[in-house]
This record gives sequence, structure tokens and C-alpha cells, in this order.
Amino acid sequence: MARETSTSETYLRPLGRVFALVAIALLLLVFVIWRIDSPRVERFRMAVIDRVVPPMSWAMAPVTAVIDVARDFQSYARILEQNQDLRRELQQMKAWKEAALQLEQENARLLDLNKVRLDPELTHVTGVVLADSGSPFRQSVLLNVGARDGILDGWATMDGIGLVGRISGVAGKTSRVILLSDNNSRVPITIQPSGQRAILQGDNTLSPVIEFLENPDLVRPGDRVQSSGDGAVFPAGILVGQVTQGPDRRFRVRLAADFERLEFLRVLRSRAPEPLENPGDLLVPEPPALELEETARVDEEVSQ
Amino acid sequence: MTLDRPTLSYWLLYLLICSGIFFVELLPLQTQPGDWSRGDPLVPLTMAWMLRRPDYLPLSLAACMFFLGDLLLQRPPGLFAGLALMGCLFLRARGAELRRASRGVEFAFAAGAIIAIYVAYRLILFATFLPAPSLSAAASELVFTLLYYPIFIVLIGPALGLRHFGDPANEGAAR
Repeated sequence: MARETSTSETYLRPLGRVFALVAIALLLLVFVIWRIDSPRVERFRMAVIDRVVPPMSWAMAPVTAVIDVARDFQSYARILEQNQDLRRELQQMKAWKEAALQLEQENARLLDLNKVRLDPELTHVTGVVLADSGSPFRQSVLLNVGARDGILDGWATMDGIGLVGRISGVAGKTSRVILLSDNNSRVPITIQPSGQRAILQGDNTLSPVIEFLENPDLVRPGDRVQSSGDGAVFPAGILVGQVTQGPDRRFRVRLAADFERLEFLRVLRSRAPEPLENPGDLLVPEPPALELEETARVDEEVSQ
Repeated sequence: MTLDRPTLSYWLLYLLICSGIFFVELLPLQTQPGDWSRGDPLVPLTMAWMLRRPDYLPLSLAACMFFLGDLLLQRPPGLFAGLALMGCLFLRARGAELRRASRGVEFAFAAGAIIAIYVAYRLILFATFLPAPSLSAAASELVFTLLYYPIFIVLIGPALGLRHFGDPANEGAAR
């Protein structure tokens, strides 16, 4: 048998070597093309993922569920300790709830006074997390909603509470969310009591760094961080988290969203804001001539 | 190469193991950033296979799997696949001698190839101004990838019929 393979090997070797060189050259060529024109190759990547991952999801869901159950079971060991912690937290939460109720009533009254109309176009699509990035160096998840649900690149994604990331890569049935903790994530933010604007930059840790802060003296740990509408990419005013300060004295954000278990995510539909043109028209609308006459007549009737 | 039944079943087995690896890596369990990596079992698996049964693993199949891995695991497409394929070819060219050598020598060659792949990968990432993972994380990935190689040889190798031709027990079967 060994002799047979050796003869066939000598026969096939030159051809095989050429083929191997061609394969390596092709792969490296794809890398070079990706480095030069990344959107096109990334679209190809999304198309491949769209073909490969959804058929796996029926098997992934039960396996994930079983592992989650096992993890929950582990936590039973610490149940007494947890119970005490929860009770303490519940006490604090009751105080907060009272405060929240009062604020809600006050807010409702004020809104009523103002006749404020919240943006009716801010609706959302909810998707299920299909897969994670598969690598500890990249923080992204794959959702089971895609172009057929009207998802567009750049839309904000949140769990029930806070901002999670933004859509980056849409295929027919799936879309990828780059999490705030990813190295490539940059999100414009506002830090609330002082109203300062900055950029939230992910660095592959759970608490992203605040960069480009104009006046760090005005920011204190505990301040609320919201998304700002700068750059017209994100809807403004989505809760991101709280400012913290690490041992390296840099300001970071403790994220409000629960990154430990990302299961269902909301993708916010954001429309591009309508541009304001002709600022003069905005101040003094030019009524058409016909209406002018009519109003004049009405005025006469009223005066008579 | 003829497409007889054992060849086809070996291809299917390789495909099955590869899809199992991707499946486990894509499970949505780790959505928090971590400091260490579980390593990449695909490279040692393919190397072990190419050293023992090169005639049952066509290059195109291995290249496709590497490339699919790049696409699915969000690496720069093509770079790691190309380097891994080079490493596998390096071992395959020395397959005849390594099959007669002891396991230690074989592991040393495979480890050298894997280390070379990761070092070249990191250097090219730096050279093309791409963000590279931190040194500790990359080192943990390398160590775990190296550990997969003996595991594949010891555990799965005999079960797959990937016999080590240097073993005295298999010497007769190989000749």
C-alpha cells in the first residue's frame, strides 16, 4: 500500500504543488482586496454567514438552553448568599420605586402641560441573538432579523434598558450588531448633568472608555450617559450607562444593558432627520395669493 | 484521486468535525469580553490529518474550511487561512519522514509550524495597520491551539484510524 501511494504521490506532486500555490495566492489576494475595499468583501461575508448560520440555529437554541440551565444550577450553591443580597437590593429598589412613581406623575403632568408629542417614528424591531462572534477579540452578535425586516446599517440596538450596539452588516435573514465593548465601536454620547459631548470608544472590556472629553473637571463618577444625536447616526437620548473612573484615572462607562446574557435585542428604526432648507421661509411662510384674498374677506365679515 | 467510498467517508468525517468546531465556537454563550481565548482546534486537526492521511484530505477542502473559519469568526478574510494552509503544506511535504519519526519529533514540527503561523499572522496584522489582539490573549490562543494537537493525536487519532506509521504495533500494517 505504501508503495502504491508513493508512486501516485510522485505522479501527482507537481500538479498538487501548483494547485497549492494557487490556493494560497487566492487566499492572500482575498485578504489584500479586503484591506483595500472592505465593504464589498464584508457584504460577501454577511452573505456567507446568512447561508451558513440560520440552518444551525435549530440545533444551537437547545444546546444554549441546556448550558444556561447548567449555569443556573451552579448558582444554586450560592443561593442563601444571593437571597440576602437580593433582599438588600429590594429594599433599595423600593425607595427608588417610590421616587420613580413620583417622578412619573410629575413627568406626566409636565408633558400634559407641554402637549409634547414623542417622536412617533421611533419604533423598533425585536430580534433573537443567533450566535456570538466566535472569537474573544471581537464583540458582536448575530440577530435573526435582516434586510427582509427592513433593517439598515447603522441603526441603534438596545436591550430593554440600555444601548447595546449598532447594526453593522445586514444580510437577508440576519444582521450583525457590533457591541459597545468592541474595539471598533465608536458612539457619540452626552454626559448628562453637565451636558458635555464625547465619544464612547470600546476597548474589548466591559466598560468602554470616554474619549474626546472637552472638560473632564465637569464630569463625576455616577453621571448619566446618553447617546447624543451627533452625526445623525443615532437617535439621541438612549440610556447608555453611568460614568465610572478606573484605577488608571480614565473615565469609563458602566453600561446599563446586561451584557452577560444578550438574548433579545431591540433594533430602533431611525429615520434620517429632515434637513431644514431656506431658513427665511421657516420664519415667514409665504401664503399663496388666493388664500390671502380669502382671509381678507373673512376679516371683513368678522369686522362687520 | 479516485472517489471511492472510504475517501468520501473521510471527507464527510472531516466536514462533520469542522462544522462541530464552528458550531461550538458560534454558540451565543460568551457575549462578555474575556481576557483569554479557547484556541483554534481547526489548524491542529488539519495538520494531524495531513500528516497521517494526506491522500484522504484534499487541499481544496482544507482551504475551504480555513476560509470559512475566517469568514465566520470575523477574522480578516484570507490571511489566517493562507498562512494556515502554508503551515499544513510545510508539514505535508515532510510527511514521509515525519511518519517514520517519533511522536515527539512530529509534535515539535507541528508546534513549530503553528507558532510560525501565529507569529506571521501577528506581524502581518501590524504591517497592514490592523488592530491585533493583546499579547496575553494571543499567547493564550497559541498555547491552547498547541495543546489541541496532542489531544487530537491521542484521543481522536486512533478512533479515526489515523495510525501513526512509526508505531511498532502498526509497522506491519503500514508496509
